[in-house]
Amino acid sequence: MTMVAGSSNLHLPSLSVSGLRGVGKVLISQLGRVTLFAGKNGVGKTTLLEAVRIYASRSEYSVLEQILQGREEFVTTLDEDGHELLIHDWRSLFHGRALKAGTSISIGPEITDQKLNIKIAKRRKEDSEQWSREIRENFVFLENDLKLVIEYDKENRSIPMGSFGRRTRFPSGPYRKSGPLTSGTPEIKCVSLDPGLLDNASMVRFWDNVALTDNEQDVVAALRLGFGDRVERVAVVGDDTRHSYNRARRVIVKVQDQQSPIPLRSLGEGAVRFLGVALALTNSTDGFLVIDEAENGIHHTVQRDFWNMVLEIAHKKNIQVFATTHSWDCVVGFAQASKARKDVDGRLVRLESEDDGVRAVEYPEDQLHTATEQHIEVR
Amino acid sequence: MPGEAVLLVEGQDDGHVVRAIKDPTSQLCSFDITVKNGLDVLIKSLPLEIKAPDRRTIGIVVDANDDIKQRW
Repeated sequence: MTMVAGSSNLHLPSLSVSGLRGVGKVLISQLGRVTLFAGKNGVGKTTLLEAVRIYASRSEYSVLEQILQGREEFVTTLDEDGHELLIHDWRSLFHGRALKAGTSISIGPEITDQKLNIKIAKRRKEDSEQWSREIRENFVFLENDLKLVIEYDKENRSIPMGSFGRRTRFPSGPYRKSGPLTSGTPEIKCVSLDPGLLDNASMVRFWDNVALTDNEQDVVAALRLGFGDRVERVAVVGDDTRHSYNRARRVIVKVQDQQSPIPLRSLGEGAVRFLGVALALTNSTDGFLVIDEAENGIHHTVQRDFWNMVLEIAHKKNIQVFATTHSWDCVVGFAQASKARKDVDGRLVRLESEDDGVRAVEYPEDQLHTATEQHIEVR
Repeated sequence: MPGEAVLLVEGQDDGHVVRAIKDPTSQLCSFDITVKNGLDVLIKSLPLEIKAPDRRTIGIVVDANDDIKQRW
């Protein structure tokens, strides 16, 4: 494969996905430092973000579980005492919801030996012996005779398909330790932002990692883009030990001409989104950031500033960003910002349904800029 | 934004002419007109107009007063 400037140091210079949810097959021949996915509803934009998350984690159980949870993919089954139990519906991960041995998902760059494969296979007696006692005794299998096999970098490991039911959290620890995969290629850090605003718990967790570091300046600068230059300082206050809603840790902001600090949430959705994305970026160094519906909460007049900030931090911190959008204002802001940054490659990919899969229509930076200047549709 | 069928024209005058002769009742005339402000702009936009979503038909009107062969 030919490497071009700007993509050679990316974890994912290209992306090939097959068998994942609604995406039968898709190939994106070149990704950017920042790639914006567009396309009609239901075509698979969010699925591609999920593919990136799964690839980054090397198919860690907890990430698969989060994806199923986010999609509300549950199925009811009975435990051995005959009580109803809600477990994750693993069928929904696979194209056509096919749960049978031999069905597989493949995610990775075009280069074959870097692909992550998730296969459904027949369970063998010795599989259970490798799993922890808690799983052997309490786990509820979706299908008794099936398991998942995760293949990456010439290694593989088996994980059970099912869950402990709604009340019990899956202990990811034992699998991470027992699987040979984790001792090989390390997973890539990946932070995921959904279409809503970042919750307080994530916000303060991210803040803890940037407070009083050089990154703090980037984060405060981002908040100024979202709220204005009157922002002076940012802090986190509260007490997590009391488990009380009105005492929980939260972000407050010192605004010029205001005597008392103001809760971040009172500054409006744009301010929260700017700060949330900047915090997520500064917590994704050398990894991935995925943002679903990137335009949310951001006024069209500051879309370019928003993408300037994303491109700047992504470049500085060696982060590869994947985002989705439906918004023309977002596309225009992105095109303007990436055109202005010669050193950072920003690209747009539109996904289109076709008979045997999904087609990727790719717009390099120059084409995207021309399209937005001439009001030619790209979404 | 223009839809499935689009006619690209070089300038505003070409746009006015096409609008004047276009039969609004004819199915054959159910296309959008996009004015491109010059031949260079039109040519630069062609690959992007072709790959616009749902695009099925593209027509082009360019001025061929001076050198028909070269324009073609």
